[in-house]
Amino acid sequence: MKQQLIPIQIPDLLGRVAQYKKDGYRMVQILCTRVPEGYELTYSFDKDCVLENLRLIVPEEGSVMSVTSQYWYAFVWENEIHDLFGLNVEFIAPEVDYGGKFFHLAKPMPWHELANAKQPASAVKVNLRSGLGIDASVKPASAKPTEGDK
Amino acid sequence: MGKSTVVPFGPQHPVLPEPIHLDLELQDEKVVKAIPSIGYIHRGLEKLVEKRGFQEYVYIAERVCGICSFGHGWGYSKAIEGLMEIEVPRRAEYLRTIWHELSRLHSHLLWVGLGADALGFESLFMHAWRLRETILDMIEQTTGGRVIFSVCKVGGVRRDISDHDLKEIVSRLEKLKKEIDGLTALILNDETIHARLKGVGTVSFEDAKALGCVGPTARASGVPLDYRCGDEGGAYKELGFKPVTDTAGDCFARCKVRLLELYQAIDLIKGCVENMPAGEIAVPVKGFPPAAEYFTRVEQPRGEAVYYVKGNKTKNLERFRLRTPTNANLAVLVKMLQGCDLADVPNIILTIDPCISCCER
Amino acid sequence: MSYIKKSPWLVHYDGSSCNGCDIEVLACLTPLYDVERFGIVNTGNPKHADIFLVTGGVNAQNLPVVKQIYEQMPEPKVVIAVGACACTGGVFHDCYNMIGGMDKAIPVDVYVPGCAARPEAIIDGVVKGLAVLEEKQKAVAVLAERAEEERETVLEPTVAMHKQQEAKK
Repeated sequence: MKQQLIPIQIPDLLGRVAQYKKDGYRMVQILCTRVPEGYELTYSFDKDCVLENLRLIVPEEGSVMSVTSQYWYAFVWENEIHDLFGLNVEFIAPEVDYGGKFFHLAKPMPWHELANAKQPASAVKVNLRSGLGIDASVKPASAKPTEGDK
Repeated sequence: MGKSTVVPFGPQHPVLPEPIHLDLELQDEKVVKAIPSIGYIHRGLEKLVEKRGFQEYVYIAERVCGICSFGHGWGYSKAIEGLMEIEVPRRAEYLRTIWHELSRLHSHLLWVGLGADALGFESLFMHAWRLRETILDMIEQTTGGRVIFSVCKVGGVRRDISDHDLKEIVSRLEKLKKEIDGLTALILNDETIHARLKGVGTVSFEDAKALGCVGPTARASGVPLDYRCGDEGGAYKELGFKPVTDTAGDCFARCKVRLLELYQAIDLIKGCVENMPAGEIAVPVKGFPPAAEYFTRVEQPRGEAVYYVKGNKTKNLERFRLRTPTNANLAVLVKMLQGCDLADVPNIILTIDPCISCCER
Repeated sequence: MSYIKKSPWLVHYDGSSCNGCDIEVLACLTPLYDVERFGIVNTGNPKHADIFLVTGGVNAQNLPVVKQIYEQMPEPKVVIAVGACACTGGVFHDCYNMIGGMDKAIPVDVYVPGCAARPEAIIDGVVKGLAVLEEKQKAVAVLAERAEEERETVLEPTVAMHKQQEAKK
């Protein structure tokens, strides 16, 4: 599957998202992973079956701006990230800001603990399979066995 | 000035197969606002990757949802195969496509039944599920299970389908097609169904794009979004595939798209059987997933499902994430419910084919 | 007339399951397995129901809902836990949001294993549930008989005696 990963910084997020909205991309999901550096967020956009992902690392006490101003339906994933990970997402559109009550959980913020985040975000290279019409400029992790070692 | 009330809908309701709660703000009988409250089926299974090995986890991935079970097993296996760069044999791809299209058939017939029950048309519910039993028989004959059949694994599939069984599947589907003709003619021409579904819960083309909906919900509004068009490596590309779309965007259009997809699924299965390659059904999987990540997608009966895996060189994955179609359709549901009658609320909810267990994992 | 038994009505609720067992429960109603020929009806109203068919290992948010449905059902009632998740938590028993089997929420009378539980097993479970229901009905009938006896031998004469005393005054 054609896919691409673009690392960005926190201040660039809204600008990039607005550009995707202008170019007619559909937002696919927002993914959060707990890493030793804090939280690793991936915003995925799709057009004509090509997936473009923005990757940013938010430090532990940091926060990130909501993208509901561009993609209203992102509130589902932003509320989920807030409830499950404890990451502060600021300025979610008021009619869909659940204030921590989107998911009622037995244990609050179950993904917040650092204990299970085994590897740092920098250890990972995106693996893109060659031979399936995929962007060949980013090589798969297995082609460079010495990189990515912990 | 009308009277305004808040009516709680769900989590237990006769038409809802799964619990979802909506607070409906009403002005007389019209819904002004719908506030969803989810989490009744949140099990937290994405975190189980820490406890189960990556090959064992396919059993958990399948049990995200009982209706779209095979699709989830396939999506997870495909993601791991992409991560570990495993080339699955052609025969396994075709077998997976046959089972996935059988899943789509049973899921759409299930939906027709539940939708009919919500309308009050109980005999149609019984007929649709009677036809669905033919599909379940075929699935049981080839895999041993009815709804959760555990036949997909990382590296291929667990069982083969013999040539005799393949021919039988095709002949049974031919007979089923005639019965589905009767069902489709009934639903698409019935005046009561027109009165209940036409013009209800309309989503325009622009709204469908702006709200990010997927699956038949999007296709009924004219957005030709179907991941089977872009799937490389699967059988769909070789068989040639075009999504079924409609332009009306109302409940009736969504019903029509699903009915037409039944025929499309039957044709795809026949195509797979005719072009079935010979060969192995699985390859051995050695080693652990590398420190890499991978996205893949599968077109489930309800829409596009996105699977993300991240490895860390151990038996357990670092992260597994599943974004299901109902998760993407929640926003459009909230918009659809604004301005509708209270009596239409069950229809509209069922029309996005909600699979709350998929949505909440 | 002793061969005529009660046709139970059932209420079904998904208590955090994957929906596999729920569609097998609904499949029991449909023409292939057809429990409606025994007069068994799937009702949406807990106050109409005798049997509570519940699936899924219950999660934190669903716990009060399951308890409420159970409390609304009139006595005698039977709870049938359908599926591996309802029996013990199934494959999800160690998830962070799952409490475990359904018996941690409400008392369960019959456990139907399977993942997903087959319709034949569910019907078998319902038949076993019917036997439990009959015993509970007898127990309720015995209690009702005793209450009736007490009313006749103790309460009514006492009331009659007080009325006589009032009349003499």
